[in-house]
Amino acid sequence: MTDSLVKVENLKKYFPVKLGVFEGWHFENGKLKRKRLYVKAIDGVSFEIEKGDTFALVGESGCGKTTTGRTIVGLYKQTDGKIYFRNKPIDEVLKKSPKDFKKNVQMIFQDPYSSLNPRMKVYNLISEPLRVHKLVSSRAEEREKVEEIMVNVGLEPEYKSRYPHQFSGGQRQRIAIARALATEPEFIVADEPISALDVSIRAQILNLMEDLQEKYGLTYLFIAHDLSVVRHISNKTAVMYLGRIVEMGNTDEIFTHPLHPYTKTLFDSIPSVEKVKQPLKVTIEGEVPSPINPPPGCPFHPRCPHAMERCKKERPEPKEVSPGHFVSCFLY
Amino acid sequence: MKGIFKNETVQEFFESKEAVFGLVLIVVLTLAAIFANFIAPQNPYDLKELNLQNAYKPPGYVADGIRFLLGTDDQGRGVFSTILYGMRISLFVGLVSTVFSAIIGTILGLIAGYFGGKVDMLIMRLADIQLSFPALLIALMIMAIWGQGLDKIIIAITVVGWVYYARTVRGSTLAEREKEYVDSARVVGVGHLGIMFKHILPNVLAPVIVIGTVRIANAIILEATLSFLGLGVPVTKPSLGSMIASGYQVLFSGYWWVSVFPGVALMLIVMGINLVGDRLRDILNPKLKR
Repeated sequence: MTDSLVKVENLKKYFPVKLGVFEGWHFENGKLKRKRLYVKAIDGVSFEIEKGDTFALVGESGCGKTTTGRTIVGLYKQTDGKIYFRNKPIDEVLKKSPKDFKKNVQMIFQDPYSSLNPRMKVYNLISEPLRVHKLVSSRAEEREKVEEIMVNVGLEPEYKSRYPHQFSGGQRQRIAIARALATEPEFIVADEPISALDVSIRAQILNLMEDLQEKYGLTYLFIAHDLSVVRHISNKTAVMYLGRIVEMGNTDEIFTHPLHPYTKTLFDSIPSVEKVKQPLKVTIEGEVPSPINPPPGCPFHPRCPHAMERCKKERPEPKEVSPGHFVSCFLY
Repeated sequence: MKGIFKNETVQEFFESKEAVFGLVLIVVLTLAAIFANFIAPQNPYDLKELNLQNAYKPPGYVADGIRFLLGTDDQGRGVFSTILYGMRISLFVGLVSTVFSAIIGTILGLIAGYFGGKVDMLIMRLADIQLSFPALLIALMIMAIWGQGLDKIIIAITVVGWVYYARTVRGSTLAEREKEYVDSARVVGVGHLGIMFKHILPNVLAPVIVIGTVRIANAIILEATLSFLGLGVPVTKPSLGSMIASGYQVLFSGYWWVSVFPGVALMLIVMGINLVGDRLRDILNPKLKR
C-alpha cells in the first residue's frame, strides 16, 4: 500500500461564503462578532490510487468530487489534510518544483467548449505544454511532436491551424486530451470528460482514454456521475456524498455487492431496459442537504431508510468489510 | 488582404450605410492630411510663404498666384491649407495618445482584474479619483506642470484616457479569469504573465478596439480644446483648435470663415470616427446583436 502514486489523507476544502454587509453579525459575550460560514465542499476524504489504476469518484452534483479533483491538481489549496504524489506532499512539491509536478499531473476538464481558449489554434493549444516545460528544442521537433500527439488522439494533423470552434464536441475533447497528454504525464484527473458530449461520441472518447492508458501507462482519477460509465472504465470506485466518501472498493465488488444505503439507491435510480415497463421506484427522498450546514452524524441520515438514533449523533468511520472494500455505515 | 472581405465581422460592418460613410470620410480626410503638402496650395507653417497683406480675405480670393479657396486668417494663411496641415496634428495626436492610453489602460486593467485584491483596489480607486475630475481639468493641470508642446499634449491626453480601457478590461478579465481555459493553462504550468497576456488578453481585446475608436474622437476634441485655450501647439503651427480660437475673436466682424471651416473639418473627423466606432461596438458586442 505504500507504493501508491497518489494518496489523499483526510482532505478538507472549505470555501468561505460571501456575506452581505449586514449579514452574519451577532453578539457573543457582549461583543459584536461576525459569523463566518463555509461551504464544506470536501469534509475529510481519504483514498489511495495505485499506479496504472483508474480510480472513479462518483456522486451527485455538488458532492465535492470535482473539488477533490481540482485540489489534487493544485488548482485549489486544501483547507486541511494532505495529498501525496509519489509519497511527497504536493504543497511542498508545488513550492519547490511546480514545473515538475505540473508536467506529471494533468487534467481533462468537463466542458470542452470552455476549457480550450477560443483564440488559440489547435497547434498552439497542444504545443503550449511542450513549450512551457521546454520539452522540444526546435520548431521542427515541436511540429513533429504535435502531429504525433494529434494522431495518437485520433485527430487529423491537417486540422492543426484551426480554431476550437471549428470542431465538434468530441473532437474538442480529443484536443483537450492531446493537450493533457503532451507532457507525457503519469497521472491525469478526468473531470467528467464525457458528460458534456453527445451519447454517440462518449464511447469513442472512453475507448480513446483506455487505449492511451495502456499505451502510456497512465493513471486516472475519473470523476463521473454516470455509473454505467464508471463500471466500464474503472477498477476502483469511491462513492461520495456531501463531501465524504461513503463507500469505496473494487468496481466489480461495489457493483455486485453495494453495501451503503446511498450506493444502493444510486444503483436503483439507473433507468434500465428491463425496468422500463414499471414506473421508476422513488428510492430516495428529499434533496441533498446544504454543504454549508451539513447534518450532524452521518451526512446521509436525513434521507436514509435505515437511519438509526446513532446515525444522528455519531459520524461513521470507514470500515473494511471485506479486503479493500470500505463502508462508512453503522449497519456493518 | 483578399480574405479580409470574406470575414464575417468585416461583411457585417459594410452592411451599415452610415458606417461605410464614416469610414469613407475618415479615409478621405486622413489621406488629405497625410498628403497635405501636395494638395495644399501653400505651406501655412512656413512663415516665408505668408503675406500679411492677404490677411482676412474671403473665400475664393486670389493673390500671389494662390487661390484661397476658403479665405485667409489674420496672418494671411489660407484656411484650406491650414485645415489640411492642422488635421495632420489632430489625427496624429488623436491616434498616438489613444494607442498609448489603450496600452497602459489595458495592462493596468488586466493586472487589476487578474490579481484582484489590493492591487485591484489601488488601480481602480486611482481610476475613480481621476474620473471624478473633468478630463479637461486634468489635462490643464498636466500642461500647467509640464508646459506646452505637442509631446505634452499627447501625455496629457494619454493620462486622461487610460481609465476607460482599464475599467472595461478589468471587467472582462474578471469574467474571463473564471473560465475553464484559464484553469487549464494553470494546470499545464503557464505562469501568471503567460496567462494574462497569451490567454486572457486576446479574449478581452474586442471592447478595447471599440473604446479605442470612440476615444480617438474624444482625444481629437480634447486636443482642439487645449489648443483653443492656447495651451496646445505653437502659434506658428496652428492646429484645428487654435484656428478656431484665432477666428473666434473676429467671428462677428464678418470674418466668419476663419473659425467656421476648421470647425466643420473637426466635426467631420469626429463624426466619421464615431460612426465607425458605433458600428464596431454593435458588431463586437454580442449582447447588442439581433
